[in-house]
Amino acid sequence: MEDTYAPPGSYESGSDSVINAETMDIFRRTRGWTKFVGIFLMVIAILMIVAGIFVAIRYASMGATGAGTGTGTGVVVLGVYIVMAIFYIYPARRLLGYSKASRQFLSSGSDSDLCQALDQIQKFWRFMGVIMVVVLVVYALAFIVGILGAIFA
Amino acid sequence: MVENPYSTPSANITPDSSSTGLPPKALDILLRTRGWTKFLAILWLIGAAFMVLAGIGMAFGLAKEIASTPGIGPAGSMLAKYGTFYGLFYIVLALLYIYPAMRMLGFSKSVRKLATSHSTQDLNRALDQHRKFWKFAGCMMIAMFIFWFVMIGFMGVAGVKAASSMPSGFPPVTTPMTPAP
Repeated sequence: MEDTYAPPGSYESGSDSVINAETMDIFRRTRGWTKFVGIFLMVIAILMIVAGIFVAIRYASMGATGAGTGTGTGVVVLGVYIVMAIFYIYPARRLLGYSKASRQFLSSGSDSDLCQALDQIQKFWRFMGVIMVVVLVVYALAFIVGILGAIFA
Repeated sequence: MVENPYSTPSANITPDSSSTGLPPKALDILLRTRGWTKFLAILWLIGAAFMVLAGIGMAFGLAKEIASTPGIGPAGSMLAKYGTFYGLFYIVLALLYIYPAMRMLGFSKSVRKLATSHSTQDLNRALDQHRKFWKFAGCMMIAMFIFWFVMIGFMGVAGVKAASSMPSGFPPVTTPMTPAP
């Protein structure tokens, strides 16, 4: 029998019980796709780094024979490839983190795992938004420089 | 039956089925995510609108202008056909931006509703929009992967065909003869 004299509790603290089966099912079905996209982005990043290494070696060998600009250019190119790869690695890690935290949430049902999963996806979208802002600023600057160039040419 | 007025007082603290009981931290994270998803979705929609405009311009305006230029010849009419094709291609490409943008806008809208209603229905709707977005992204990646493989295969076959159709009457590569002393 339920104790009617028990102190009133708050369902906020035990909120994992009120997230229903449908919510869990949605998490389960989202998890697979985010994992797939995360792995795909990671593979692209790795291929990018490998391609950068090949290009750097090629530049170095051309420099050794006196036909190219040499190792310095190769290192710069490798650096550019690595920076480009980082732009893939960070969102990939966030998506994989979301998938992992979702799996933990599905098994534990705890608030902390839910928050962890949502936090990973929030970081992913924040990163994408910041990148988009940077791209827009670069476009705007290029537009202004182009107009000024046309005026003063 | 009349309720017993002398029974011990009690309060129903069990949440009803429509209440989420979502931890405040989780709701805060979702609200912070909402701003970014809305921003990106609006940008995608603007980009898609520009693509549709460019596509219409290419398909109907530019292509017709090229075709109607006097003395343009067969090369011009070919260019006009390509213009129409690229224009339609742009419009189709714009649709690929509109769908995820709509899903993200749906997510943002549902999270805003969730902040006021605290209902499981709104939470599930937001998460479902999010799921649909990732399903679409995954399908697009699979399509891109298949496209890459087809293109690599096509280029390989074209390369082999081009190599085999080369005339065999090329002069053999020989080492330059040393001048006679």
